[in-house]
Amino acid sequence: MRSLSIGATGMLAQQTNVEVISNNIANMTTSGFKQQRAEFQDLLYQNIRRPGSQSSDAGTIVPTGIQIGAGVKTAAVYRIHTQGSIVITGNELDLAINGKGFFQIEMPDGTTSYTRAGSFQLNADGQIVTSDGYTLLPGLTIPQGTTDITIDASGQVQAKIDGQTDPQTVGQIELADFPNEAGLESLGNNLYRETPASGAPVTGIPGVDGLGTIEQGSIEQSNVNVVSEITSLITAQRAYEMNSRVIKTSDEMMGSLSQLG
Amino acid sequence: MENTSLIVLSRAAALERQMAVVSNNIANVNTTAFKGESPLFVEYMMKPEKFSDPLNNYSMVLDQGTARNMTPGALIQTGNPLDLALNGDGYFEVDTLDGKRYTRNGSFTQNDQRELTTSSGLPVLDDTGNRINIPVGTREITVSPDGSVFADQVSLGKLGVYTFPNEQRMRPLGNGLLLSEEKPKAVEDTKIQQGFLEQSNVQSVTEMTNMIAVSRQYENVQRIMKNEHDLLRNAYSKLSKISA
Repeated sequence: MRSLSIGATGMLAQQTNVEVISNNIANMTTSGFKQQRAEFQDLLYQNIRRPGSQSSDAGTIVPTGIQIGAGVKTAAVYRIHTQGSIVITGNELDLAINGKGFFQIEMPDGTTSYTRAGSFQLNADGQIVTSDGYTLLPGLTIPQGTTDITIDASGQVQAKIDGQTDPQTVGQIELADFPNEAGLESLGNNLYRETPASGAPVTGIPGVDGLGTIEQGSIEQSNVNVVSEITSLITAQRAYEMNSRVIKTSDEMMGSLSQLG
Repeated sequence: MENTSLIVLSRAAALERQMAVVSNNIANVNTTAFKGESPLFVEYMMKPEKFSDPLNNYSMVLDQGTARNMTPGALIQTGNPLDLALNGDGYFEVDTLDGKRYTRNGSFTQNDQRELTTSSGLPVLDDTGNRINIPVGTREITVSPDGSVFADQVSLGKLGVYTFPNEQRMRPLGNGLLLSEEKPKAVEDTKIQQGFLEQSNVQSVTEMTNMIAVSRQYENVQRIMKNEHDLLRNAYSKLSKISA
């Protein structure tokens, strides 16, 4: 009975689907999180009678063959990089990107990773770091005695130092952009890594050449739409149930066979 | 006398095949651009010269083929720039080691040579049969409704969208790929929608109903087989009593 194993592939695929959806729902309040989507493909087909094969000596051909598919598989799980809503936090090192682009983060091993979760802090050396302590690139050091940090929409960082009247320019935050953001590899902790599928990063000044602008004192929320996730969850659960019905029905058909005689 | 069993057996084999098709449809209820299939059965008549013989005057069930339901699936918005949906007839052309294959699944990505590929890594071809290369430093890829691909407003070519005289003769190969021995014909009026994917066109309610019908018919088939068996056994025991 083919339908038994076909039903099993369907259940497996829907299980993956539920896992992806539940991860989206679990991260509905994770800042900068981008929702994921599972993509499915049909499995190989068994050709019992090929379409176009000859059906008689007179040269007539079979218009449609008999091909029976072997089920389904998960082809990809990719992220959907739409803009999340921006909420004001008032924290001067909370930065949200309004538009395309990623902050560049230096990992402890020296490689560069990318994030949209702009919840930054200062470390003991006055550098701007992520909540895990990884440095924001290019490395910016806020001078001692700074009372106020201003970051404008184009990413220019200015520090107002105690006792001075004019703010001092500290540096420029650059954003990186990818031709295919869906191809980025997730590292966890809201970080992504470049892959051949994402393409090479192009860095630039925020607000220039299609890059997004920086909003100081704000955080980009997760782009997970809970309503659509819950409906997807229901769909996935129903699909899972249907596949288990397939297995049950196939089992009953086989059971009635063995009762013969 | 065994004709009843043979006729019923042909139906049982056909139902088993129908069950495999139905379960494949249900398994692919969430597969991008999947087209549901249904089995076609024909009546297989015994040779007419044997019709005069009442024992040979019967017909059986023969499965003739599987037909693809070609209705378009619903479009779902993903917002991903490399997700393309065909709104209308046609197939994207992809390059494989075994030659050109066709797919309606427009969930594309790019490979390490910056070529536009399917999610399984097969290069997607433009209307001249060449691969589409995305230049280094591209910020934004846009695809216009006629299939022209632009990288930052620079044209990279036009995606090839083809159809075939008889789409039912296309052979599914899995991974959403189809193969046809017919000559492809370019499609003009199909619109390509960027940021969308075509969903499976499987109607789960119909498939569940089909499955229940298959299961019930299979039970009936078994019952006829059992009745036939009981009938024979009865006949043998009665006949043997008379002769004794």
